[in-house]
Amino acid sequence: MLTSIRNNKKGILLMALSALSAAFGQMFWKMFHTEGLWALALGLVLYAGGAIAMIVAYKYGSLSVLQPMLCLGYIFAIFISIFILGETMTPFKLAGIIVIIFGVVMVAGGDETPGCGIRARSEAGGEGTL
Amino acid sequence: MNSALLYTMLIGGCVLGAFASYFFKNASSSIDGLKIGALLKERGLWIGAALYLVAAANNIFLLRYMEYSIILPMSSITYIWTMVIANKLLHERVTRRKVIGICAIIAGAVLLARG
Repeated sequence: MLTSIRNNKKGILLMALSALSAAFGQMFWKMFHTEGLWALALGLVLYAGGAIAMIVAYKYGSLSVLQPMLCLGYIFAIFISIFILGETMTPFKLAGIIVIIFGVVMVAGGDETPGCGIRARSEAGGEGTL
Repeated sequence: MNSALLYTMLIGGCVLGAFASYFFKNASSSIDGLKIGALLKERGLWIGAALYLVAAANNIFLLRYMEYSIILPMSSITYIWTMVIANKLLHERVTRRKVIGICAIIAGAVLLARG
């Protein structure tokens, strides 16, 4: 499990950065109606930055490990809504966050073979298992 | 709008989003280092970007007709499609831990949506 996390580490961190950037981007888009055009522009910059981080991230790990890391955006959005937008934490939200973090750890540690993705296809023997 | 059509569009959007990730993965894995110029010449980057935009526009459209509490957990179905695509096209292993993890992420999204 730790080997999988280690092999995908750079990609996982970039994916988390992408999700964080996108979550803040959406927050600024929500603020656009009250704050004006600067919020829209900043939201766009953050969203685009998040997309670039995501594309770069795919270079550093398996698709099946990295893409689900985007769900961290759900958690970032909850924290933004609570700490910045003043919404309240509920037992369902707290439970959701805990369950998602468990899921993220399981997926991050889900690769069994060292190396991954297109470049590792031949090394992995081309066998996919379910 | 017809709810069957809305759900079909929602699931279709998830498939497009998963394929967008596949093309992004293809593009970024095909270049050496982090050469932006080389990345921009990758056809997969542009196909992925187009699919991503269509999936995003589809989601924005659906938000007009469906509750966010439905769309949020349903959109996490994208991760299932990604597993299938990664397995069939990239020959990545879908391990038990990944399956448990995806199920937990979807369950967590349902809980968040109940808020």
